[in-house]
Amino acid sequence: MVRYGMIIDLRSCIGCGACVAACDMENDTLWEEGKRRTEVPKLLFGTYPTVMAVFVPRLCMHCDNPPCVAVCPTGASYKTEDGVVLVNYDLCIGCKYCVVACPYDARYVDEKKRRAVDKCTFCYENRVKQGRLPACVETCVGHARIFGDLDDPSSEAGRLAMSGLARPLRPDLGTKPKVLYIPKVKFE
Amino acid sequence: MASLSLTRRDFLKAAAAAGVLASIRPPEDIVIRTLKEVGAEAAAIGECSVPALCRMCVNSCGIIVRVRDGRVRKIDPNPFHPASKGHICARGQSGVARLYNPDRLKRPMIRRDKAKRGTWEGFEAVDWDTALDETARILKKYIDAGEAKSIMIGGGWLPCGVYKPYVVAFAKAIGTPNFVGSPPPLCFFPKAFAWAVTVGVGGHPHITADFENSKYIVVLRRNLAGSLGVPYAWRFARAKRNGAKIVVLDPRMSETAAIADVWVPIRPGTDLAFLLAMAHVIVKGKLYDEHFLKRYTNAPILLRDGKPVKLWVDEETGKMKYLVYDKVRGKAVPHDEAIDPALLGEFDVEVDGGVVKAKPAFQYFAERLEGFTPEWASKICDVPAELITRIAREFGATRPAVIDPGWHDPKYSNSVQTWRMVAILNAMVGNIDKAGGFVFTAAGRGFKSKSLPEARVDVQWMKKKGYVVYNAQPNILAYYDAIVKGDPYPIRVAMLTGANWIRTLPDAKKWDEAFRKLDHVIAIDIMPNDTVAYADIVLPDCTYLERDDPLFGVGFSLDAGVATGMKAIDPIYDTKPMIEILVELADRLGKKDAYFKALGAMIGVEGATLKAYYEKEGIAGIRRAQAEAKGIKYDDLLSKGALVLKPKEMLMGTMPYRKPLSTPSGKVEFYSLKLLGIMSKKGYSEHWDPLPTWVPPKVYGKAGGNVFYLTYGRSPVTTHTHTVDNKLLASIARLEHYAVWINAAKARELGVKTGDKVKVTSLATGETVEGVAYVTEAIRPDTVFVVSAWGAESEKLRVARRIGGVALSKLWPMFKTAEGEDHLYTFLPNAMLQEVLVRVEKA
Amino acid sequence: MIEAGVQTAWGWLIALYLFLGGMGGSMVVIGYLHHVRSKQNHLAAVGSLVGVILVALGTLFLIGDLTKPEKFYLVFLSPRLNPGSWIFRGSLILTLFIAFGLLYAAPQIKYFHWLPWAKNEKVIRYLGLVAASFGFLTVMYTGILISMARAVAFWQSPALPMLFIASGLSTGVAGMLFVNVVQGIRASGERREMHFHWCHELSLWDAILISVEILVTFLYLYIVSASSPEAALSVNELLFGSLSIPFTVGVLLLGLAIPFLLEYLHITRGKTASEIVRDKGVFKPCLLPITAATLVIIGGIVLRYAILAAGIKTIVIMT
Repeated sequence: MVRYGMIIDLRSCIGCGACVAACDMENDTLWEEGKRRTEVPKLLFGTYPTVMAVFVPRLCMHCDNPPCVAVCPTGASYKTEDGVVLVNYDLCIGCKYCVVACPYDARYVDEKKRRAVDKCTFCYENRVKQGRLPACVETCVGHARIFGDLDDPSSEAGRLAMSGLARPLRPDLGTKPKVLYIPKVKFE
Repeated sequence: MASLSLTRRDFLKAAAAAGVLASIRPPEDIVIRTLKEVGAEAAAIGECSVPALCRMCVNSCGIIVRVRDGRVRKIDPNPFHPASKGHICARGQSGVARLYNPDRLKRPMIRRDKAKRGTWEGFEAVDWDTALDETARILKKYIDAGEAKSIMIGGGWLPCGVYKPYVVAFAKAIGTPNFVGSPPPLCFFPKAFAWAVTVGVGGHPHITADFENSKYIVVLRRNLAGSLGVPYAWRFARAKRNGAKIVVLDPRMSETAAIADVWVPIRPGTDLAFLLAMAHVIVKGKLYDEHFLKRYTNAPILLRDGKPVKLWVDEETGKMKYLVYDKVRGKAVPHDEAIDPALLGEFDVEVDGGVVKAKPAFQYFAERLEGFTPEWASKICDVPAELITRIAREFGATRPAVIDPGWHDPKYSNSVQTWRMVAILNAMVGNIDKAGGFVFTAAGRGFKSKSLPEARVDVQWMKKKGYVVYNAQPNILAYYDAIVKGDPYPIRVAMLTGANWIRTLPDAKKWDEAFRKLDHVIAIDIMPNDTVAYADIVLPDCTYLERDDPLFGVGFSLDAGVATGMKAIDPIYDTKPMIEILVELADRLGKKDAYFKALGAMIGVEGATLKAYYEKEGIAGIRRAQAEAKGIKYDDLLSKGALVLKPKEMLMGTMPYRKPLSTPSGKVEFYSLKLLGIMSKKGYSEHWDPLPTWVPPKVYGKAGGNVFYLTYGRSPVTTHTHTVDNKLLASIARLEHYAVWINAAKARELGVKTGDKVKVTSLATGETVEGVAYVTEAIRPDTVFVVSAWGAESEKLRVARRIGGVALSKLWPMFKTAEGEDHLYTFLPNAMLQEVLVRVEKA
Repeated sequence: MIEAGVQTAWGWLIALYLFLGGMGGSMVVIGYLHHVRSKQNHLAAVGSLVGVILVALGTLFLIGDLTKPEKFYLVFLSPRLNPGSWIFRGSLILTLFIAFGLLYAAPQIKYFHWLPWAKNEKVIRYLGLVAASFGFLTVMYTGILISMARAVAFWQSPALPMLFIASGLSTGVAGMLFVNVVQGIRASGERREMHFHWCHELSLWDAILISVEILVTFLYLYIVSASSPEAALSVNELLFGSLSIPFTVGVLLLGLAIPFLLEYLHITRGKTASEIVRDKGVFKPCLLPITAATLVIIGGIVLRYAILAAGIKTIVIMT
């Protein structure tokens, strides 16, 4: 069975926001109100001149053990067979428990367009199912987002996942995220 | 159903089977499906896609525009475009927001009260016929009076770049020589000139580095990942993934510096010293590529007192010949007869019946470099000497290594020599037109520059002012004197397309004066920007999504190719594409035939044919005529949007190995004969020394206390001022993208915190602007930085006004500083936009 | 180096819902206990009714906070119902609580004397036990609900449900105090004395519960701030940061310290002479406890809000 996931290469990301723009346009988010499915905050460490900047693209982790699915009363939050966590907008009543329960700040409330909680869908219905890449992955100029079957060693995503080079955020929470990060390391 | 992982091998197999050129190399894991397949699926959901070319910046990446229910929904990258190869940046994605921006110019307008220039008052909306008739009437007045040359036609990067022929044709048709694209003195010319005298070409679309195959990359005076030219950024990212070591010299940690292995926070304007010290280390350590220097450069040229011992023209080739010392034969010979020309040493040379002592240029330069030690550079650049030494050694010992050939640098009086040093260092490690090194783009091979006609205002003005290089590139700054003082002769009418000179030219006050002085101002544009507010007639242009594009050669790409754009939807407002506006004006002036003749000459199609095709299909007709003239399959072109005509493997590694360069000697000019020519006429100057030497920036050592070096640059969410009024980009922009960067320790001294309002006063113009502070550890204490695109003052740009930003054009002086010091760089048009100190205070 | 943010999805409406759940549920618990002890259920019935109404009101707030309030029924009727969700479980508990609470309390009210078990003391007692059990579950549930959001380190302590129970009970006692005084004002003669006596008892219980609450609060903050850096951030926000005024003033001072003092004063002051109570009524003699009760209730609301508002999640931790 396919297990969709994403690898984020923190060594390449420059926080250009192309992925954010692509997602906003592709998925009709409430970007005008600052509510989006993906964001790229910048973290800066150190004091001049020993400084390091990391841009960390964040989105739904499509966890294998998703806390949002566990807490949803109506079953609106669910996980597909191929590992994509989705929201059934018709069943969602907007109690926002999932928004609170998500450790990755991945969800937002769409009171206007969908009248439900919304989040990254890996562009499942609108792209992946048609054999295309999610909008953010396709547009990324630095190849900082890599999408595919994490269990398939012949795919780049699978290889990176299996190599152990890419790691999840907050593994201590037991959510088993399927978005894994290749860390940035500096030697200088 | 296409699978999600297509390896490169699989694709090439499939591609070969499909007859597609195997040269299109998608990044791994990308799904390549023809536009037809995508189109079929899209049609199933009522969506249609057309290929187009993005106009959010000069790179003109290939895009696919998806339309559903008559609305543009999404812009996707076009994987067939050889320069952008399936990637689009945030600006490209936000084209949709540009199209539907309610702030856009929606209909032609005329204003008769010139006193209201600079405001939005007094405009009345008119229909196109009225607007075009009035414009034609005005132009006719001057043309008929024999004063066509008092009409200036100009703009920013749009008519300076790919649309140049279409605008120049109009200028030619009405008989004015004064077509001015403003970028050269404010952007690329110093870098372009330096490279052109070294390797023959140097413009943006003509040179680049083969990042992805390089093992060591040094970037200076450029934010190549962050200002995001997609054709560069994706290759640069590949380099990183392939394990290249990246070193970035920048006073602040730009996006490029953020992903570099080493960030060198160099003192602004002192990169030249760093490079000279690098050369010192490389020469001392014999890390240079001897073979390359001997065979493919003129480094062995014998000099005496800094000038060639003998220099003459080869009658057959038209190239310059010179003497070198052949170590095998033990004497001086013409360079193409030498078996092993010496790079070092001093030799007795027989010439004109006498014997003189001569040294190869390389020896000459090596001696000069003796003093330019890392210790010397360390004090100037404020970089530890060990770091300079280490980077120099790594650069010299790694093959292939490359120093990025640069982009925008109108910043210092030493800009030209800085890029000369970059070119020389690249030549020293022998990376010219090699994998992983400096390369010519497809468009750059065989590019021949032309001199500007003498009849132009700027050529005459620069000649008068004693400019050394006065007819190579337009100089918009000259037009101020022409407009305001009639010097060298009056300019009375300005017809602008895609220009925002109030915000982009130095000294906004002066340009306000100039725009008020003109008899007539006509503006073709999409947005009501600060400059359009000075117009008497506003002719609203279409966005790139609402019109067809002609056929263009692809710039910025290693593969040779052509690309075009198709109209996605009909104009949503009462606008016309610029080309149509120009044709209709030409028609009204009885110059339609002349227009197409001039245009045809520039794009390689017969004038009458061009006109006939245009009359049938509009701009699409021009494209069809071009395709036919070039022998390109039209359906293929339209189905893919971009075609590769020659893959890079067929082009790279040829210059100067199999084809001579368009330099005087045909070789890489380590010692610049062009600069020698200038020196012979004008006498010696370190600015045009045929071999680089140290030239300090004018502002060197003057920062301190609350006086800072001013630096500016771009961001991934802006291009120039035309991107600031875009809802999507504005919503992605972070404070650092529009605020004034101040070092944390300095900010503490000034009592400034992030978000505080600050006053920035230019010591050069005396003007003060207000901005918001971004306090960070990621910038030098003596430097402030701000992204250049913002600071819009037009109240009609509502999104831009909400963000604010800094109006940089008020801080840059044009000819003289506020204290009366000369700010003119008369070597070549170079505005010196960072030879400016600013005082920063809490507001 | 951490990237953290505070949750903003659950705000005042949910805080009120949690508070009303705690207070209303407790009122039925306390009412039932009082019923058993004093062998008459007048106070219990009215108190329980008020408790049920408060919880029902809280439920209205919860429904009002939904993005799709009109679809609230999906919590029970969704074709993909997830019984493991504590929102589902809580809704079930609250529904059963309201049902049994009404069944327990209704017969006491004149209008419902016709109900079959209205005169059956035993049945009423059993109904009361069930209602009180669900009441207790309601109180406990409000703490469990937020502790199930493991993303928020600050809420991951067994002391949190304990705190909610202590707070719930003390606000419940406060509520009962109000009901008692209102009944006392409406009563006459000897009955006034009875209400005054109960006021005293309730004050004692209030004082005890407040001290327990103070202890649990400090224990909770102490333990949880040592558990992880982001939990420590939350505690810092409450004590010294952006929530310090609502928390230290609204909760610690006005919601705990001062009411305790007032109750203490009332209890140690000695009993007002029965005659005064009989003649002048219970209000003035019970002024201290009533004030304390008001403050406890306010403190209870602000406490719930503060705990929600201090819910910090850490997303990225880089070393």
